[in-house]
Amino acid sequence: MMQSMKNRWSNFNKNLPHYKKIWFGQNENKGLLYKIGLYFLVISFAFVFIYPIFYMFMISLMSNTDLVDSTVMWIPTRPFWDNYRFALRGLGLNEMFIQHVINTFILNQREDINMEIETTKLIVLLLIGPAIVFLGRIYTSKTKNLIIIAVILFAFMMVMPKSYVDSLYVSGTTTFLTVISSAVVGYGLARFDFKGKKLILFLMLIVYILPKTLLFIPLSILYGSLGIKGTMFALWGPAILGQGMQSTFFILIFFQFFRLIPKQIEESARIDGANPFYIFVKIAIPMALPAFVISLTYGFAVNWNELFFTNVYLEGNIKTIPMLLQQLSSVWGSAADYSSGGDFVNIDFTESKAFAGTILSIIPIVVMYGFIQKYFIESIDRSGITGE
Amino acid sequence: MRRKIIEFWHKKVSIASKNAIVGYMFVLPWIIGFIALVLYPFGRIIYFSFNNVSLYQTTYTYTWVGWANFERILMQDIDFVIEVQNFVVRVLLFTPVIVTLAIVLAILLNQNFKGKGFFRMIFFLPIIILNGELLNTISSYGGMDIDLNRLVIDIITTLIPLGAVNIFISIFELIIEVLWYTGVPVLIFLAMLQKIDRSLYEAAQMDGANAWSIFWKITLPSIYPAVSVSIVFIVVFLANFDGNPINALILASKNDGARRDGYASAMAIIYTIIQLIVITFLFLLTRDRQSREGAKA
Repeated sequence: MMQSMKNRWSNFNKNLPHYKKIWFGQNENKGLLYKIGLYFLVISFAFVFIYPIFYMFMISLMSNTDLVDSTVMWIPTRPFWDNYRFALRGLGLNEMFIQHVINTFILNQREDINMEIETTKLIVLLLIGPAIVFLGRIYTSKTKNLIIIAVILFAFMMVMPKSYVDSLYVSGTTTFLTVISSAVVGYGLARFDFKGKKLILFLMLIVYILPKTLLFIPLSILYGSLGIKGTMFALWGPAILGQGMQSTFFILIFFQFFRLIPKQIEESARIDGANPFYIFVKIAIPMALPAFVISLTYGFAVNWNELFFTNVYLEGNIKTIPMLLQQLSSVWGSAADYSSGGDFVNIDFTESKAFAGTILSIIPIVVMYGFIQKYFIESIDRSGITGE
Repeated sequence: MRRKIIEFWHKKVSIASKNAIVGYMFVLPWIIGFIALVLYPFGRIIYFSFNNVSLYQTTYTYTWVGWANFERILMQDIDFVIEVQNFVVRVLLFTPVIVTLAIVLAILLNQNFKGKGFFRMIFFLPIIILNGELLNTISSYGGMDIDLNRLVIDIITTLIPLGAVNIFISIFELIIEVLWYTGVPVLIFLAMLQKIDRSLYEAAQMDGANAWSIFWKITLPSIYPAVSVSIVFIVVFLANFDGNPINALILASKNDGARRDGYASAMAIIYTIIQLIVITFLFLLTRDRQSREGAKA
């Protein structure tokens, strides 16, 4: 007995470096303890991050009876899908965009909407396809693929719910213009020497620091006198002129990217007789692809979530998803169907309804993020945004 | 005429000034935007703030009132002053916590482990979905505070006096909100971390440095320059965030019959000045430390 204990002890002693290696690691291999600690930290942080979304989702499936029932903590007694059904209606997601177009332009059934704005929207959406083909042809010769992409995108937009398309239209066009103008300005700052460059960079930082509430009063009066208040041009104008949301941030990202392009490439193109604009479009833009991914993704998110400017400048003529979410509780009475049977109690507006609406409002952008996040994170890895 | 211009361009203009002219052409949109959409409105808003602006149908009338708007905001009405105080306290409390958490998260995400992509996706999700309305809805219905287990709280309160514990509990209630704000700072720090030279770590390990001292001697000084950048980003973000009650207050004042545009303009100007002070203060605070460290090294 004693002997075997001793044996074991000496065995343990002999193997001690081995155990140590497993637990504490050696050189490159970091050891089990490190891994456990790392996973513990990462998982607990991740839990805290998605706790609100999980909570929201669980509550959004509860009926009002479940909410007041103290025995129901997380799992609803049965999923109450009516929350979503009515929230869809409250957010204007119950009709497809194509239905909306038919109702507006062919059947003339709507009286409460601004025809001018609807027409602009339709024209812009119709132009997206040709624009993709036209711009894509600069960079690739596969016209057929481009046409297929354009057609699929168009068909997809037509069958999407109306409010999603509206929101997509507002944030997509604004982001596109912001990013293009940022790229142009960033290129100008990065590749050319001229007087006042330092001053411009300094002024950009000042503009970035100013709160967005500072200038909206004179700007809305200015837009009013120009006649573009309440239309999309109130958002497009600043976007084209490099004063859109987060424009400075994007200009600085592009500035950093374009600075890294070797001078020789540009010079050899110039010797071949290319003009600066051609060099920018054909050579510089493809080299700054990660910057485009970053700014398009982040800019889209920022514009999608914007509430202040859209509320002030659009005057409710086009309602984005966050704006609709804001008024969900006040339109609930008309959106919910009280005659659908069952108890009235379960139909009244409560947090489960608000959460159902919120979940619906983040679905499109989360899906988009799911597709794009790989490229987004890769681009960040490659860019090293620091904005000195 | 056109030919003359082309000839002039090719023969008389030097390469350097050609370069400069083309450069100005590229930057021109921004310059126009700056003059038309920043400088001009800035002059207007200063004028507004000294006026009583009233709108009758579509014509605006301005009556000069001197400093009356500012006096009313700072001396008579209390709502704005309180909101600004809250904002300043919030920013000063949140910013260090956000920066610290962002550094921790960036270091975690910079490690090599399985499922890194998945965790990155979760940590960056708030960048995409966060807006004022969303945060408002969730927090007003109690989704933003994780219930600390009652038992845990009871155990803690028997050991430590309740007053001290309450602070921690209330900080913990804000943890999700603070974590959700870390998105872009984490990106900035992550980018900095990936720029650090690997050989630096290897050399330190050869010399027998442990992880703790490697963190303080190599990692932290390398990413420190990003601290002031992220601070500026965070303060600007918090100020422009739709959940910020000051924005709502200014908008409401603009539409309030007793206040109107002039009063709201004065508010916006005061708020801007305070924000500039806060940013400059925090920036210099972190900047100063950095240059001192630079001097030491």
